[in-house]
Amino acid sequence: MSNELTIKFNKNLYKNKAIKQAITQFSDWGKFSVISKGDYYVVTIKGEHVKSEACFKDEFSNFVLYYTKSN
Amino acid sequence: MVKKEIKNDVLVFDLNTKIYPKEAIFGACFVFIDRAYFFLDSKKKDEITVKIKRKNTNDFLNSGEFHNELLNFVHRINIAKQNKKIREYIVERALYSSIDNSAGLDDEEFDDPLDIAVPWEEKYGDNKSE
Repeated sequence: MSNELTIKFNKNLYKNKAIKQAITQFSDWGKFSVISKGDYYVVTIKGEHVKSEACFKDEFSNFVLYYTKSN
Repeated sequence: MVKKEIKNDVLVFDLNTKIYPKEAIFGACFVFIDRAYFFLDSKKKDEITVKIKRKNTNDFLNSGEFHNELLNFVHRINIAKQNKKIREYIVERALYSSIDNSAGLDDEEFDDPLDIAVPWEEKYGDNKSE
């Protein structure tokens, strides 16, 4: 059964480039898609374990934050 | 003004970007990135909502520690702003003086105590061949 997870990143705070860099790090976890919706980048992840893994969302957000700061 | 609340072990508070610039907030988050998960959002202008979730429940990371680091970054940013002109002047002066010195080497007088040196123009110049 495929699980789906959605994370919204504010455009004023997070960079699209940072989201893409984080996705490359987590690409093994599932299929990622990024769409721009209003003030947010909406990241959708489809994968078997993305919802069951408690820290996935938090770890991914931290990576995006790290890449935003580093760029 | 900082509004603070704890939801499901997640510390949530709002920060005014006029007091705490975005760079300072990112910097402070970066310091604790190994100890906590951070999520930032901005629903109002000049306001950033910070959500902090500790990685280890035994870790005593609290908002006070985060705010101290935040203050540290604000101070560093302010000092950098205040010293911007003098830093630019020092770099400018260093670059200018290095150019000045290298140019000065060409202008040095040629040392010829026996007075045997003949200028190139005098020895191989157009007038000589004719």
